Amino acid sequence: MERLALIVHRYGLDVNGGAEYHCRMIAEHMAGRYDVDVLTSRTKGISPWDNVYDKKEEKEGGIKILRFEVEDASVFPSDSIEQTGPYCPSMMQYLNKHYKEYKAVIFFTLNYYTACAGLKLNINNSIFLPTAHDDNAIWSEKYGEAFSYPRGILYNTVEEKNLIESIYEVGNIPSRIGCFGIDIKEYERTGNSIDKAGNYILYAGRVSNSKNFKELNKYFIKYKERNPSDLKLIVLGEMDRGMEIINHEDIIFKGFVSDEEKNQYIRNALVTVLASKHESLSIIVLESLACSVPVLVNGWCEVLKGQCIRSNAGLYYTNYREFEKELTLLLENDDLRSAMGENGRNFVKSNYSWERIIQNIDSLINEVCSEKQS
Amino acid sequence: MDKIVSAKNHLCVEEIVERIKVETEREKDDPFLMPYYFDFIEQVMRVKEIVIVGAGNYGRDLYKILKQNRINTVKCFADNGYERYKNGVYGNRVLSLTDAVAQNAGAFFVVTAQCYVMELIRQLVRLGVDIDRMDCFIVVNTGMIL
Repeated sequence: MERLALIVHRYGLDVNGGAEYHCRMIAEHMAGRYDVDVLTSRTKGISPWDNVYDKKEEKEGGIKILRFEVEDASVFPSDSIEQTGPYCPSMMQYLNKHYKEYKAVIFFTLNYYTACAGLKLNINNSIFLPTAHDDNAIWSEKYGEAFSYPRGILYNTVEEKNLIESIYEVGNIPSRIGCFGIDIKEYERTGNSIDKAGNYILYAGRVSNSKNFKELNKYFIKYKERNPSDLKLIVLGEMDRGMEIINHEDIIFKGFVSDEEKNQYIRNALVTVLASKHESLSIIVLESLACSVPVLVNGWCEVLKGQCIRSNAGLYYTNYREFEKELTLLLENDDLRSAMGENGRNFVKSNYSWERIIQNIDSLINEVCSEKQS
Repeated sequence: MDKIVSAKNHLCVEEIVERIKVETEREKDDPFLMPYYFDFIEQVMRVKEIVIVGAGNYGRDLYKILKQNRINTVKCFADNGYERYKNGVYGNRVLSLTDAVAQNAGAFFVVTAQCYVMELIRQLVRLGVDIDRMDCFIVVNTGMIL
């Protein structure tokens, strides 16, 4: 079988992060077609990078995981990609020596050393999956240099592609839109092992400033002040260290939960909310739609707004007043939620099947390969 | 909203959001946004052409804020580091301050840098921009949750 390498800054079943999960899903779904190696760091945390994982090599369901030590980058300037980390020079040495053994090498996520330094090796079988969004990193020369090297680019959405092409001259690099799938059957399971939680809206993801959780925290508390009810906000996901939140009796933090539990929480939610301004896809939005649960998202994010419009299954706000009115509309209208739920599920079925996504990724890999040969 | 709920087959989220946007635009009472925000928007709504001084984060944020408020009169960005933005920003050119002033004589200049504000104002004044045709946009005064 041909070999495929995926390069990602963190990897593991207990690693909480969208891009990391994205990589794991691609690894698992490509494992039948390729011998998949995941090259990653030994870190589990982000700040600081820790070397928690002991094993340098392990196998997980047909995927070989090669872990490289995160080394001290303090000799580098504070604004360097080495300092951003995770600084794994031994990974780069390995890649430089072995890249020809792979049909393609897919680099995940723009703003980490593993992708930026790896792409700068300028190997002729590189594919970049930037998971980029409209934030400081995409406009920064430090990271933007990475776009000079890939032979192919995988985008999550048309908005991501348009953004990157508006900033960098990558229009002539072969690319595909659509590199994450949803196994719709996973979201059909019945069974309910979670405690009955009453009426709630759901947030699932890292509880961090980068996800604008602060805004959701404040908006929900204000909403409850102005609209008293038994409505709760259930929060799934790990909290970033040092994150300041305002506690409220109706905000319930469940921490990191299993995929099965997460799906049950989604299925029983009235609405899934996401205040993040910076997304390249948002897996939780797709998962919510797959569970026929409409979403309420931050309209400052073109990707989230675009997904709502394409799916006709979510509303988007840009200030508190819009948030309040839209949430009230959704909570008070069962028919609207039901219609949006049906739209959402159909949208995911039509656009995000893994069969279609794998074909998409494969066709880019083949195109990059044939370019390499010519 | 009854129309939206019953017309299941014609559900259009864009229409729903637009309807809510129009309703909320009439309200100036926001629990988070400060009067500074509304006053600023009202001021720039009255001008015909805007040049955003600063193509960095705050300049780009201002651009988006203006678009959300249906203000589409931005002519360009101006930035002392304009060479970094050779492909422009959101479809708008990024010029040097000198070129931006020369090419947009009647425009209203909004300084978005949160540091070096006075230096930029002095630069604009030396280039001939009247003090009444410029202002600063100070994000922290808006009440927006950053």
